[in-house]
Amino acid sequence: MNFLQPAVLGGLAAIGIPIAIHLLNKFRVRRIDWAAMRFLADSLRKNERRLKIEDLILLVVRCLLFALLVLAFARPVWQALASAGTGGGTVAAMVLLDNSASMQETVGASTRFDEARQAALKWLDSLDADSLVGLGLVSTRSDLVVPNPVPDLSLARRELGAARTSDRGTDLAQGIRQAFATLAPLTGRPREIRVFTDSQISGWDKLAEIQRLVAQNPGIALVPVPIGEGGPNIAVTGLSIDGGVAAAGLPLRVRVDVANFCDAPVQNIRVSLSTDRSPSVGETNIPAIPAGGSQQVEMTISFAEPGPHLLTATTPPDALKVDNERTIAVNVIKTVSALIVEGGEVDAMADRDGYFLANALVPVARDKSLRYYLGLSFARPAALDASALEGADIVFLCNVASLAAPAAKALSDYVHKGGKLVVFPGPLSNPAAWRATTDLWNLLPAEAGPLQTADAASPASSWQSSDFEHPVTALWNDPSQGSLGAIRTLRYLPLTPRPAPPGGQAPQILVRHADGTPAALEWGVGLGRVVLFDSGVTPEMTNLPLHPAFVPLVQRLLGYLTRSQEARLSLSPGESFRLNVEGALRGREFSVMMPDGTRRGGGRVEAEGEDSVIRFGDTQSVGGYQVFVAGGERPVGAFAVQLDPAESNLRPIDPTELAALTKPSEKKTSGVESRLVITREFWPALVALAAVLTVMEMILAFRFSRAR
Amino acid sequence: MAENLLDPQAVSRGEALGLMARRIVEGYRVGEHRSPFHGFAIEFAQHREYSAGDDIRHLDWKVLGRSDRYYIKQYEQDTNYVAHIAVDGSASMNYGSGKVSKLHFAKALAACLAYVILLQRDAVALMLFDTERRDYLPRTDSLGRINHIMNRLAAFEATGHTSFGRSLEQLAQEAKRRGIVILLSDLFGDEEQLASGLQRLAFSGNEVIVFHTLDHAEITFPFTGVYKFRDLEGDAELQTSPADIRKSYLKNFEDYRQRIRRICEKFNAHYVLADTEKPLAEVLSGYLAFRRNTGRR
Repeated sequence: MNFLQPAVLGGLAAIGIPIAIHLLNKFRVRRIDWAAMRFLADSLRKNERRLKIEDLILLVVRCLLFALLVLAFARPVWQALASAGTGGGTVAAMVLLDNSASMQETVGASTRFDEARQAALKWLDSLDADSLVGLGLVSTRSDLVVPNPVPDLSLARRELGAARTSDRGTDLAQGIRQAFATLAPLTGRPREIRVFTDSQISGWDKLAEIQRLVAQNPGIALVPVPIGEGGPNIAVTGLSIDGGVAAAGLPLRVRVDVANFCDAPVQNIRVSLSTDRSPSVGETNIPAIPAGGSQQVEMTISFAEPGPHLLTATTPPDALKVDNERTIAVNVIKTVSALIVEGGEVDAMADRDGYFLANALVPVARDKSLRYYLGLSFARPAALDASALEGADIVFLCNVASLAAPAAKALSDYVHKGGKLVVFPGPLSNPAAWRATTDLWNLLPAEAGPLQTADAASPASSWQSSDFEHPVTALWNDPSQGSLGAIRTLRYLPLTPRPAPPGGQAPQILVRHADGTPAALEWGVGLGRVVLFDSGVTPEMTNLPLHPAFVPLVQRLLGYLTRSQEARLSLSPGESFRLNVEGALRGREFSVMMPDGTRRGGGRVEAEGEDSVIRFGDTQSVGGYQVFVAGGERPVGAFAVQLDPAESNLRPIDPTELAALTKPSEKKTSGVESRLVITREFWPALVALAAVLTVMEMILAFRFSRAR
Repeated sequence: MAENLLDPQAVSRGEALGLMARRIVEGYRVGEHRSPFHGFAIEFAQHREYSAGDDIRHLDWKVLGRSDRYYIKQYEQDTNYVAHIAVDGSASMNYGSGKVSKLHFAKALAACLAYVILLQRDAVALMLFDTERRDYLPRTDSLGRINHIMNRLAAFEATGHTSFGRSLEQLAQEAKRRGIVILLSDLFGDEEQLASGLQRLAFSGNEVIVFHTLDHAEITFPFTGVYKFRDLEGDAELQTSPADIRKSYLKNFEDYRQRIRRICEKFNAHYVLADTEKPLAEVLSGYLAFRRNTGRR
């Protein structure tokens, strides 16, 4: 038992007040001559004992009342020994509460987040009243709801009560970094950062940085408080369109990744697909997923209508609901226009530079080609200008020697605005001339050297047969799909990949030769993409056009390029969505159907230069969003907010690694391995007892006819 | 000059009501009250047969003429009475919580009674006592003596204890003839002595009226706070909080009053509570009116 305000105990002297009043009343005597003395004496004799007892009772009750009030103000508490670092005492602390998506894991009727909140509240209760506390909610971003430690602990309690989980991933390092910066200037109290988290391993990805921060701030203790131990979890960690172009009516291959984050293998996992919030359009069953492993399934669907669609993959419910489904947005196209620019001037169809390519792009019988989604057109390099490029979704340069500066400029503008360019060199291709044409040269992801020809000294180079890294060629990692190792390049331009431009991405190798040199590369330029092969698409350059993989490769390349914009349709929670729409929609209001099916006003279609743009920032929840412009029944756009797959792994970090964060020196400076913490306060009970005594005193005084 | 103890209002009401004897009294002259002696006065009472020695002037000649028998006519004789007014002069009578003490109230009441009695040509004798007779004024029927009575009353100062044994015995000796005895006292004495005194007065044929003179504070005990009570008839002191014992005191006091009342009733004495807080005229006229309404025996 101890007192938080021991100085108030001096007020126990107030017990003397009722005694003094009692005595003063005895001494404040009025004298009076009296005749009827015998009646008085008789009454006194009869009541003397009773009066003394009543007086004593009242005096005791009144003294007790004063004593209880003084004790209540002194705030008596019951204290118990608690191990060091578990809280209590006077501190300046930053409380970091993990509100990432993994904290939504249910544990009975509550969630990990509820447990963490309760643990934080309990710790706040153990603090001395003169402690300072700040509060931050940490996920991939830090919301410092009480940015600086303040003495108003009730503010932290209130904010804790109002805190909610997010669908974001976990990055504890940035929250801890901010907390260190906040506490660094404070002096006069022990400083502490207390992190209430489920301790999933991905949250501590930047453990090295955190350890560095701990080392740099020896006066600030970092105390991770793990909540729970992470339960089993099955999650949809990936959903993508694989293969060709997503065109209306065409079968579309969908790839779903399902991961098992349990300690035991799971069996018979049902995976279903649905489109546009409709019931399931397809289901499959994964027979088994090993413990800690993942399984990929492929399903085929088709969209009847062109336009923006949502595609959702779902697994059976479990403790973490948020990762049981994953949604992507798909722009299903109606038609694609491809422009093939041929450098060679040959009339015979079969000898034309784009002949094999054209057949691979439209791999259907002639009578069906008119109804095919892809429309082909041909042009000469000299005719290449802005008008020729207008309406083209993708441009193929085949055996182009060089381009005139205006044509190169038009082509560069086309790519920067989102056009796709694929370059197949040919016998006429002149890298030196390309280099001279800056606009063309700058588009290319690699510097091309002079044309090389295979001969006895340098035999034809074959393509790699495995370990494909690019989505376009990843299909051939599966031996059952055939091999690209039989493709041999007879004449080629040696390619040297360009370094990554400032703020941009380095070129990606589409496919390599068996010796590791790149056979094809691609990169993004402006809003568009450029693919550069080292050889052409005629048999005199390579046997690729004659290889069975040629058509799938072209179709996959076409699909990849047409979907390159779709990366922007998958956002992280909180990331803003931007969509270019028709100019006619400018100024009109738009609304967004949220993942939970509710509609929310989004504002108006804005003008951004010549473009009309829809912007929407309220993307905190994972799931599919559909954008509707006022007056339209069909969505003009769709996008999906996706959960960080790492968030599904609920396994906690090794506790020994966390323990290492609490510095031994810090423990030593605290002086004791255990300390007293308040487990119970008694003042409310004392005040209640005093109230009861007050009522009792009034009743007794009334009964005893105490007028004074 | 003597203090004027006469309350004009009380006297005025007393004059109108008068203090008539409720029993047969033995007067010494013709008055307004019935005498025990039948004589030959004004009011015919009865016939009796003549016997030797009777005055033949009272012979009823008409009866003798008609019946030839000798009858004497007898008449009732009205007489006056002597009222003995006894005022308690013990120290306890000095108590007064209001403007007047019990003694002063008793003196004024005695003066008014004396005046009313003298006014109706009856006689008044005055006795002042505590443990025994302290002063005595023999009977007088002269209204002119009222000032003398008041002087004697005013000059008296209360001291000593209350004791009825000796004082009421002395009063009984003075009131040998049947008359009215009026006792004004707080009666804070021995109740047995009071009873024996009243018994003797009653056996003497006196009509006894007891004016139980009490202060209002003694009846209601209204004090709050802590008091030290000092005995007016001794050295005793008691300190207490009156509020604590009020209930018990009032019960004791009321029991005592009821015992006094029963003693009075036992000896056919009128018990009149004279609360000093009430106007004298109200106390006096109230009793006289009651007395008038109850009529003669």
